Amino acid sequence: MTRAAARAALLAALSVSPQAPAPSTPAKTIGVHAWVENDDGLPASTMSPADFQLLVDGTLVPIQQIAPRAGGTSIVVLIDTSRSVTWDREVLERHVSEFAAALGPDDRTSIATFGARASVPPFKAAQRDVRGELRLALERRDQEGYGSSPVWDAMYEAVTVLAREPGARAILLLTDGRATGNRYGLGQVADYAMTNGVCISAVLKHSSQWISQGGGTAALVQPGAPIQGLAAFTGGMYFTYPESQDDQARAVFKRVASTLTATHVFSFTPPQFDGLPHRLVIRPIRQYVDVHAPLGFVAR
Amino acid sequence: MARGLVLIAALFLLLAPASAQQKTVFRSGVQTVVLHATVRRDDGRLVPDLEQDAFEVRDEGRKVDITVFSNDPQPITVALLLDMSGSMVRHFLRVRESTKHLIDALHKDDRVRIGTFGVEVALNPWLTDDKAILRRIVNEELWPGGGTPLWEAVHAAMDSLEHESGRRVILTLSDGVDAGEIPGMEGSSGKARERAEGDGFMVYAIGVEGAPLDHGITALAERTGGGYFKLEAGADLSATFVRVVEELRHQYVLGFTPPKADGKMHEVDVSITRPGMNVRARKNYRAPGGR
Repeated sequence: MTRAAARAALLAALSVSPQAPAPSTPAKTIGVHAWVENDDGLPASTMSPADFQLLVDGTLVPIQQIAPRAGGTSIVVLIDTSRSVTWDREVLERHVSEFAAALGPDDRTSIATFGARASVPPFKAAQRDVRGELRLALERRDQEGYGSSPVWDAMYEAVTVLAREPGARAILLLTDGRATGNRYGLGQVADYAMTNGVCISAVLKHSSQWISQGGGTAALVQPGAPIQGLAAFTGGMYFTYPESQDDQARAVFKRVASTLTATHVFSFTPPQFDGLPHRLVIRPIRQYVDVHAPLGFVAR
Repeated sequence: MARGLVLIAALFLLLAPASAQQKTVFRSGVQTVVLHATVRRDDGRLVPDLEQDAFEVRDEGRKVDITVFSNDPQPITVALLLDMSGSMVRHFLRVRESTKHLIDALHKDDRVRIGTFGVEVALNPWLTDDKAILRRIVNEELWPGGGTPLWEAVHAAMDSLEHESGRRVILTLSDGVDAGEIPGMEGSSGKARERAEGDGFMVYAIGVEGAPLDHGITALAERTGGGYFKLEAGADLSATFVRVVEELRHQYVLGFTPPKADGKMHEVDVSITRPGMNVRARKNYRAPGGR
C-alpha cells in the first residue's frame, strides 16, 4: 500500500455517518493522552496550555489543563511471529525485557504473539520476568504451525482487551508489516484504536523495495507505510528495527518506553458532545518541537 | 466425505391425496450426483442456452438418465489463489489490478475468498460477495516474494471451502511449478488430487507467461471439470479472470442417480449431441455408500 493510500484509509476511518446530534453537555471535558517532544528529541516534563494550540475539526478550542498521566499505562506488546518474520529470539527477548524494565512501577504489560491467530493474555506488572514469559509465548507459538499474518486482527483484539483497562492504553507492535488473512482492515483498526484512546507504536523489521514491472515502470512495496500512518494517527511512534546494531535497537525500545511513561493528558471541551469522531490537532506554539497526539477523538 | 458432489437430493415423505385406502407413498434415499458442465463452440464462444437433450452422461461407460438439469446462471463460490512468489514479482501490479477487475465482474450472491502463497500461505477469512471487503484485501494483503508452495495453498483452499455446499471452485494464478514448502502444512500433490476428485472440488488454473505451469495443476483442472488458461506475453489477465467468472456462471447443472452406491470412484463422461461444440465436466466422482 502506498503512503497516500494508507493516509486515505486512515482519513476514511474518521468519516462521519449522518445521525442526529446528541444534546451537548459543555461541563464535561475530553482528555487525550499525548507526549511532547523537546529540541533534543526527549519527552518534555513541564508545560502549560499556553504553549499549545488545540484544534477540533479545524477550530481553535482552549486547552483547559495539561496534567501528567495518572495510574500507569496498560501496554500490549504484540509480536508478529508469522512465517514472514524471522527474529533473533535471544536478542528479541532481551530487547523486550529491557523495554518492560524501562517502564514505570504503575505500568502493566501483556506480552502477546500472533501467527495464524492472536490471543492477548492478562496484564501484569511491567517489571517482572518478561523475558521468561516471552520465551514461553514463543514456544507455544511454535506448536501452532504457520498460517497467515493477521496484523490488523491482532491489533483489533489488543484494542478490545485494552478497552477494558483504565488509564492510558498503548500497543507496541513488532512486525514486518506484511499483513495477510485479516477479517478487519487498516481503517477499521485505526477507527477502533482512536475510539478507545489506544496509542499504537511500532518497531518494524522490514525494508521497502522497488520492483520492476516491465515497460520502464516499477512499484514501490512499503510494508511499513500503513503502520507508520497508523502510529501517526494514534499519537504513537514508528521505528525500523536495527536488529544487527544492538546499541541502536536498545535505544529504540528505550525511547518508546520513555514516551509511554511521559504522556500527559490534554483536557478540553469540544464544541459539542455528539458521540461522533472529530479531527484533532495539537501543535506547539513555543519551545517544543512536536506533539505526539492522536489525530482524532470521539466526542462523548 | 464427498460434500458437494453427492447431494442428498431428497428424502421424500409424500402423503398421497386422501383416498379410500389412505395410502402413504414413501420414497427415501434418493441420491443424485451433480456435475457442472461448460459448453463452448469450436471457436471458443460460450454456449449458455442448451436444453437437457443436448447432453449425454455415461457412468463407467453406461448411459445414465439425467434426472436434474438446469441452464440457469449459477452463483459462484471461489477460493482465488494468487502466486506471490519471487518469479511473479514482475507481474505484481498486473495481478493486483486484474484481481480488482475480477471483483468488479462478480454478481450478488457470488462469493470469493482471496488467498496468496509465497513466503506464507494466507487464506483470508472472508468468503464474501462484498466488493468493498474484497478490494480492501487486494489493497492491503498482497505482498510479493517467497517460494511457490502451490500444493500447500491448494490444500489450504480446500480446507477453507470444506464446509461450503454446492459447487466449490479453486482458481489458481501462477507462473510455475510447486517449489518451497511450509513446515507443518500438507503439500502433497497426490493427496490434493485425491481430495479434489473425491470431495468434488473444481480447479481452474491460469498460467502467467514464463515457465510451464505445474503439470499436476493443469491435469487436476482437467480431471475436475475446471479449466486451464495459458497467458501469452502481454495477454490481458483481467479478461481471463472475467472469462473464468462468466464460464462458471453459465455452467450447466446435470444430475443423475448413481447406478451403484459402492463408495468407490467412478469414471464419468459427459458428451454433447450437437455438432461444433465441446463440453468439459469432471471425469470422475465418488459414489455414495459402500461403508
